[in-house]
Amino acid sequence: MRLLLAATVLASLTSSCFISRESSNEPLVKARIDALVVGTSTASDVARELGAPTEVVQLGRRSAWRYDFTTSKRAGFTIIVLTFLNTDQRSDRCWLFFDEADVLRHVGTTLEAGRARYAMPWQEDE
Amino acid sequence: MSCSTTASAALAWALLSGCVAVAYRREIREVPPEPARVEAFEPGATHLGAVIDALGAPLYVWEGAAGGVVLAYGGLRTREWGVEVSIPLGDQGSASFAYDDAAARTRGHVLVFDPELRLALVRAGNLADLRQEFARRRPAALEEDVAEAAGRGGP
Repeated sequence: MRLLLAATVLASLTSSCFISRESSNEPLVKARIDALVVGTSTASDVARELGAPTEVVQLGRRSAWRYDFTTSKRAGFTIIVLTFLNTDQRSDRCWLFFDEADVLRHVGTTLEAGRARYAMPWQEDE
Repeated sequence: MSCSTTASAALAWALLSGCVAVAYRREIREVPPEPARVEAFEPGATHLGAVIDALGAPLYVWEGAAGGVVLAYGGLRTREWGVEVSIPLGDQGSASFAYDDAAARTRGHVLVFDPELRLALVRAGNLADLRQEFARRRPAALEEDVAEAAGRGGP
C-alpha cells in the first residue's frame, strides 16, 4: 500500500502535460481567391489581390504560385521518461497556374487548416 | 557491487537525467485524397484543370523532367513507439538521434502531365522518392558564379 502511494505521488510530481500551436503565414481569404477570374486575371492582378506568394514554380514558360497558411497543433503528456505526443498539422493552400502570357488558367484551393485539433495519440482521426 | 547492480544504476541514471526518452507518437500531416479518386483519372484524356477541380490544391507542384507538370497529393498518418537518446557534449551542444523520425515519410500520389497538360501517368509512393524520379532538377548556381555576378552587377 505504501509503495503504491509512493508511486502515485512520484508519478504526479514528475508528470507534465502540454499543448502548443504553431502557424505560418496569413490565413487565406476565400472571397479574395474567388474574386480572381480564370482566363482574365493576370499575375499582376493576383499579386495585387493576394500579395506576395509563398512560392513561385517555373513550369517551362508557364508558372504556378502557391499561397498557404499552416496550423500545427500539438498535445501530449510526460511521465518521467514516457511521453505521449500527438501532432496535427493541416493547411489552407491555393495554387494558381499561369500561362505563357501570365494569364490565370487554373486555381486549386484546399482549406483544411481549421480542422487541425488537439488530441491524444490513441484518439481516432476525424 | 555486482554487475547487475552497476547496470541498473547506469540505466536509472541515463533515464532520469533526460538522456533517454520513450515516446508514443501520432502524427497527422495534411489530408490525402482517397486513392480511388486519384486512380479514376484517365491517362491520355484527363486535363490538369479537371484534376485540380476534383482534388483541390496539391501539396507540391514541380516542373516535370519531360517538360510537363507534376502535381503531388498526399499526407502522413503515423502511430508508433520510439526511443530518443541525447548525449551531452560539454558546452558545445549535444548529439542526439532517434529511430522514429517520421518527418520525411509523406506518402501519396504524383500525377505527371505532358507539355499539353494531359495526364500522362499516375504513381503512388513516397513523395520524396517520386520527386527524384519525375521532377526536373535545375542546376544550382556555384558560390563563385554568384560572387562573380554580384561583382559585375555592383556599382
